[in-house]
Amino acid sequence: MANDLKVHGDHVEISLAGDLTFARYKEFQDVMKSATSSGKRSCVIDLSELTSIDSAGIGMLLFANDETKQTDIALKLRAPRGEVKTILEHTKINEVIPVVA
Amino acid sequence: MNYASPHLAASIQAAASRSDADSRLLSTIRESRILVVDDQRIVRELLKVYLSAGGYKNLLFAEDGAQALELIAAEEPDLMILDLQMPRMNGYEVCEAVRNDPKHAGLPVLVQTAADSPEDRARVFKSGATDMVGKPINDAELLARVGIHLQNLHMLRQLSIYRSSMERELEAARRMQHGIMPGDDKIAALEQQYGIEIRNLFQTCDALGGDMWNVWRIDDRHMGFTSIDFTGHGVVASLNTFRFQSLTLTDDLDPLDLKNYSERLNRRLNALLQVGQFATAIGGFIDFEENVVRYVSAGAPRPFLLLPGEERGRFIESDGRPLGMTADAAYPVREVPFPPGSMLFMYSDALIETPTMADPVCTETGIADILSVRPEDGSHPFDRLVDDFFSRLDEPLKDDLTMVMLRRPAAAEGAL
Repeated sequence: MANDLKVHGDHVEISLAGDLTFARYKEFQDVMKSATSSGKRSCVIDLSELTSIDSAGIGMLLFANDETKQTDIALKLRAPRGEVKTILEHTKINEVIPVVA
Repeated sequence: MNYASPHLAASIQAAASRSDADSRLLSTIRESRILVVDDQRIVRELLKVYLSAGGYKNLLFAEDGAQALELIAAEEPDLMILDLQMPRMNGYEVCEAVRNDPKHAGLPVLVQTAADSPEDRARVFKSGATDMVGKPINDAELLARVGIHLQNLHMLRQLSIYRSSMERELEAARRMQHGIMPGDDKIAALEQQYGIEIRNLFQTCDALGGDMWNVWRIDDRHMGFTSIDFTGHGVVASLNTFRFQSLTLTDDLDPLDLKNYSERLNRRLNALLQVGQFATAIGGFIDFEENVVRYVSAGAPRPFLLLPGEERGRFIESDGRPLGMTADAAYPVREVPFPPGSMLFMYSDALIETPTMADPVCTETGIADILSVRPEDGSHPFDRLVDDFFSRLDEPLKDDLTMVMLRRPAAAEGAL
């Protein structure tokens, strides 16, 4: 369930696994802080291993979107699956944060 | 010989300068009633001198165990210093009697003892003593132990007072929250006016919740409804339900103009809410002349609709950006038929995401299975869905749960 942060050539990549709920707020905030201070202009959050997300989790993605906008970093969500994909589409998060396959 | 402990005096002074709360606690500690129980007058006198030098003036004295119990009942001391070997009733018996009396079971008892063997010490604690002071009595040790146990006692009392006042506040807030949702009288009046059946369940996982629902009269022909779920639960989420309520009350927009109504509400919520806070919601009205439901949805879970003559109902569209998430969200108005004999069921996501989204106890299929059976075929489907859900739960809810069913009886069923 740990967040995994990798710095690639031109972007930072964060992999989220397990459940994204309020319990992970601090952990997520820390990893986003590392991402926004990495100096890269682009950030991808990989959701392929994420099995569930609640409203607080969606709030955390919106928070990340706000932070990256303020620091002029392009944020993308990648590869949501199953119920996570369904809920992101249902709440139209893909209109707010770009989602790539 | 100076009995006052210079260390304690210094630490008392340091504590006094720490803060008002600390100094209030300190003066409460000094006003504590201390009961000294010893059959030897000389020991009672000695303890009196030590305790007085430590700042304690409310002292009570007993010469034996029986008198100690009488004084405990009559004077309710805050702490007792107890000798073990006494006539009439010894210290062990006093200890046990105090612990068996629910009214005084929490009284700190300091036993004076010369007992050095582990067995003796074990016996002292087994009889219910809080702590021991060694004999012969040393003033610094005595005052340190008395001080620490009185501090614990008063801090526990303060916590308990704080806790009960918090509970009272939360209970008042909980009643206020229920007050912004329709009560039985209002529901009955609407049922009678429109010839409709309204069933609901509202259960919060904490004292307060972030869900809310409403039904109301718009005019003779239209009845409004909403079901809303703010991010999170508990106090913060519940404050947002009050915000929502006041926004809808102060808005003079036409409730039949759903698109403008919802988009303006969204903009106003967006300006109020912090980033990451939002509400999934569905709202609209039943038009009893055109026999339709018109609604807008902000990402609420898909409602279930059962039309007359259908063997199995369907889930209707409800995707949309949650309220308050972005200022520019658009909410297209959707329409479904709703003639007599129809039923619409709305719910918050806790119903299909408990205990987890990946492995819920209730699914859309499960909802459709239960709700496609009409009320006339046995027990009410709403009750069956509620019973089914709670019978499968083996832990308390982790999110607030709201369920609302609006049902128009078939013409043959007549008035309710």
